[in-house]
Amino acid sequence: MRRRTMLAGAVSAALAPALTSCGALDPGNDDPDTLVVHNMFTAGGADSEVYDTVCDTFERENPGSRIKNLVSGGTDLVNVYETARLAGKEADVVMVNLAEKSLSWSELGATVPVTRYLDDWGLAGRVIPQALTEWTDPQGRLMGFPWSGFTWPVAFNTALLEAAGVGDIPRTVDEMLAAADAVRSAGAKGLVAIGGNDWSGQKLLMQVMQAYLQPADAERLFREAGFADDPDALRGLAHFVELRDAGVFFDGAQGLNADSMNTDFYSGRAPVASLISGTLASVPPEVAEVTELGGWPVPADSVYDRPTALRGYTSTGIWISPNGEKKIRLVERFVKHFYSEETTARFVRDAGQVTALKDTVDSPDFPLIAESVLLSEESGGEGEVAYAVLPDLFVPAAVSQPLIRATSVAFTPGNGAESIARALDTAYRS
Amino acid sequence: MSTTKQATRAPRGGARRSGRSGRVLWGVSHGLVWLYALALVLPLYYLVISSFKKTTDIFDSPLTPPVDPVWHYFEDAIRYARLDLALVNSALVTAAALALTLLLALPASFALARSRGRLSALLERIFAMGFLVPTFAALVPTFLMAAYTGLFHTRTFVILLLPAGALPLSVVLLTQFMRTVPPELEESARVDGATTWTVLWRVFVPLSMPGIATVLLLNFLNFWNEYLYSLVIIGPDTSQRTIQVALPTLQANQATEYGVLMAGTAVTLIPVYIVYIVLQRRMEQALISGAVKM
Repeated sequence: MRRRTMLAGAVSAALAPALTSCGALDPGNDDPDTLVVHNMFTAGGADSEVYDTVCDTFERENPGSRIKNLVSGGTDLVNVYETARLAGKEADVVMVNLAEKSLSWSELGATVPVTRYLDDWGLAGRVIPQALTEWTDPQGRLMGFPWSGFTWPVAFNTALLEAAGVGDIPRTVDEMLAAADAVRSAGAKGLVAIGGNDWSGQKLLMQVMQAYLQPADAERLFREAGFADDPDALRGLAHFVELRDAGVFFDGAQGLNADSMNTDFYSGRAPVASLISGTLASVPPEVAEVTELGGWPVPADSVYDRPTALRGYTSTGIWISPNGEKKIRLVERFVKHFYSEETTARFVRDAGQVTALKDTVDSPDFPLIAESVLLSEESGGEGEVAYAVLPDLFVPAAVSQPLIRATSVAFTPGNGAESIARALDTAYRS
Repeated sequence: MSTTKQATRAPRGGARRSGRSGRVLWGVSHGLVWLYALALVLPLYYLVISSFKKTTDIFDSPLTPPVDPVWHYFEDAIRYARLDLALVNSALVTAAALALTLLLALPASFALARSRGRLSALLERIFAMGFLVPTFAALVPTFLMAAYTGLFHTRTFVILLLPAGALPLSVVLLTQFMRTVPPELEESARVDGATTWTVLWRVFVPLSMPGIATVLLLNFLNFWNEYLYSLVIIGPDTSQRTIQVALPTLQANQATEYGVLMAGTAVTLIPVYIVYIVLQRRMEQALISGAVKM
């Protein structure tokens, strides 16, 4: 009896608020003064705190207008948005990256091209030209307003390298091989921590493979495959195999992921890691102090004349949905608010964001991110790194995940360039 | 005489041998049981200790208890993902769906249990065929139905949907339980003037309580942990989303704070354990009664 009473009490306590304050089971998003924004600013990160502050400022500056936020993780967001779009109940604005499925949204009518809005609202001059290029589809339509980007340099823990007798960060392949030998002799399980079983390993594999590929050829291969038939791709993959077999990567890299890579670098166990700016922000201060950023060394006869890194402006864009177009004046105010220098400065300064907009400020609290942005700046006549082609904009949506899964083949000892190339080609046929 | 002694010794030696092998078997079986129990407890232990550890510690020493415990991850998880609201939404959806399932399954099982004809056997098989519908196969038609009925992005649709998926198992289980009720009980109730409703409510339901508890527990686990339909149909709106949809928002795209995620996961498990504790005895009764019958 007592147990029954307790259960009844617990159920009543749980249901009472739902049945009273949240009585209506349909949220009703049709209010013309409410802008529904579907985003991936998952709580807890510095960017989500800044985002909330910026939304509050918007509501204060636009009395009567309200922002209703829907938050999902990256993959969930895309699926949920697409399903909601089919039902005609999608959010007004979506803030998500440009990759995989979202690449086809404009083509399919899931979102509205924003080309004319960028001009009409006088925002064209704010965007970095490279960002506009990346956000423009083959038909010349701007798919969304570019908002944030990323840098993807190679991070070197100079303290660990020095402890192993490596005085300077490796800038050539020979120096990298020597550094791998040195750190292994000092007891490390490899030179480069990498997630050979996920997206982090896939990006590094593609980056290394491009050593002998002209950018246009790399773009073609990412779009259409044919790695096994391309001698330059095979040469790049053979170079990757050479590095792998020389013990450059951590032991067992084929089973590791980005989380283990980050942990190894954050805890000062990894001498080198290829870190995207979003993770650079979380490097602990004691490790950041001894971290130097650079690029991935390329062979002497590479098509690149200096170490390579990756960067892009596709991390977040502001997309307008067909529902959003019905509230275009409200959307205009929202986009202009996000494009304002004050908002951009806040994201850069307080969240260490790499922005797709011009005239951004420094982020002193995130020194590694500021340094990564400056890697490409002219210094003594040339930047420190060259930028390889980022696969994300060219790999078809359906291929993206199989291609990531094929990555572990490349990091598995014993697999040669041909078998890696075949695994990559197979991913395009899956 | 000696033959007799030998004859009497032989069984003793055999008994000793069988005693030894029995003890060995006892030891092995107990060892295996403990190993299995450990395998079950290990993930739970990992989950709980990780809820108090920083990400680097979770990866560095996964099974070591927290040396310097972080106490605020639970609060962070609840605040970041609004798990409080999500818990209420999950409780609402689960409780309403469970009530609806029982409301439909009890009369259906009662009718099937009392019928003896070929038609009822056919009907029972048709109910059992519900098991054959894969979840993913039903997703698109379900989505279309939600959009067509105007119930897309509402909890109402999922409350109606979940019992539809749960009815095959519930009806098959409850029918078997109700078949064990002696017909004489119904006959004597009828003699006393009981209506069909009274027979169901006063005779069959009390005697099927272990079965009902089993159905409640199994369906509770399914409803509470349901993710795909809750994500697609209810959507990510904080005021409506269930706990399973809210939980993944604690996972960042590039640098997740795993301690917070683990704490959030632990929070989602608390109601499961409470319900299990409440219904455990009834369910065990049901399982034991099933074993005795066999």
